[in-house]
Amino acid sequence: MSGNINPDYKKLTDEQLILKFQKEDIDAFNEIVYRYKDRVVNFLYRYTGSREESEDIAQDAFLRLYKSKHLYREIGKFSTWFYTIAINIAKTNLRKKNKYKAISINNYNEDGDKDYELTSKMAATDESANAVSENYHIQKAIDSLEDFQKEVILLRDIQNLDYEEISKILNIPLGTVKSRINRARESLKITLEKIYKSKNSE
Amino acid sequence: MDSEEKYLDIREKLKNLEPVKAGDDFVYRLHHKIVELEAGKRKEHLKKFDSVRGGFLRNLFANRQYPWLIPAAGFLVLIFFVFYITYLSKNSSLNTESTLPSQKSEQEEKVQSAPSHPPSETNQLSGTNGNNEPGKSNSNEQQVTSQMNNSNQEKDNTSKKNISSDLKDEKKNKVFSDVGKDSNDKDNNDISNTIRTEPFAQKESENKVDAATYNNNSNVDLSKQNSSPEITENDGKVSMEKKSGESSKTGNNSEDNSKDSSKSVATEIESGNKKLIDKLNIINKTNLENLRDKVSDK
Repeated sequence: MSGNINPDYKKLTDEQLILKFQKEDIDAFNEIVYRYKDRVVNFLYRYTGSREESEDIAQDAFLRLYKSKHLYREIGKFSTWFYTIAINIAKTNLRKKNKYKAISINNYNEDGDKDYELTSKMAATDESANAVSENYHIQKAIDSLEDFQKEVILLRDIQNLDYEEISKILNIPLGTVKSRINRARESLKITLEKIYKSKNSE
Repeated sequence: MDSEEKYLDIREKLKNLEPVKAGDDFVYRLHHKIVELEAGKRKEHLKKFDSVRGGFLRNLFANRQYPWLIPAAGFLVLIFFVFYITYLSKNSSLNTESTLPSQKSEQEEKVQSAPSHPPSETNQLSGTNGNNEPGKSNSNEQQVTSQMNNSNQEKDNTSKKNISSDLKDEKKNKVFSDVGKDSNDKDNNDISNTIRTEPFAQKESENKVDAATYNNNSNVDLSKQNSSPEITENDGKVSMEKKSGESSKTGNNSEDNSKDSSKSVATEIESGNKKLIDKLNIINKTNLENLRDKVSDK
């Protein structure tokens, strides 16, 4: 498996690439990794709240893709299939983590041990400090959402996927997707308002 | 669409979130994991291949899941070995026992079939010449012997004739029996071919030689033997010449048989001669006693 990517593969769609990879073309796999690694890591970071965990899950998702490439059928979009894999792995990890938390003593801390990392290497100027605090609060608000609300709002507002695709990924009806998104936005809005009120009061 | 517009500010905030990128070593770590995965696949394949190659015994004993199985299996093998040896020994003894009776029965069959062969053998041999009817010579010979016996009974008064008839009977019987025995041996040794090729004249000369030897042994017997054909001719039923002719017709085989049996006949004749001499002495004594009785009566 070489790190170099064939330039001709840049023109190919995701579906063409996975079909090539199904014929043991490893360059096609490298191109898929190159295209999706940041998107998936970003999504998983917002979903899990941990960079390391998100990268580990993303790598597991790519490994699953590597092992189960023959399971992809050309019926649907590749992105839908791959996000489904990533979310399923993230969910199973989250369940394991929740079980661990139920036993752990650290669970007594209300905020948990999540350390929201700086997403950029910018210097700690006022603007950047504001941006960082903004990100921090938004991420905290996202984490406060229920899992089923979190996944739909991330897929819709961060990954910019349409409703149909989200319904396929999560295997739920389209109406359910819409309602969940609305509820998620509403609860997110309320949470952020509370955060800003508390911040202003300080 | 209403909900999209309603929560536009929230959507804006979420979109403006700084995107998180994968680490620099993300691809490297991913490649490392893929290599490990491939190695694991190879190991699994090798394990499967080894399990197939190792076979049943390796899987059973190598893991040491059943430690009691090793002595049990050893004991079982020992029992099987002992049983196999005992079975083999029994089987071998049975084989020898079963072969011996079969050989014995074969020998008995040969012995039983030996006396029944001569007439058929002679018949077959005579049948090879094709001129004579098979079994005719035998019947004639039997008639000759029976007639000889009748004539001897009629001539009881003459002791010499009796003796000669007895002599003839014994001689013929011996010759026939010897011929039968020899024909059996010849049948086994495929001598019949050689017998067919040998000239008949030779056989006759040999018979004469045999007769000469017989005559040399006892003069009395010679005279009686010479007189025996006359007796049969006088009876007018069967002549010795006819007999010889028939025997010549039946083929060289019967006489060839007699040639082969000449040696054994000679030895037997010698013993027979001794017996006859003894008989003659007894008869002479009886004759002398009769004469004495007649003289005394007179």
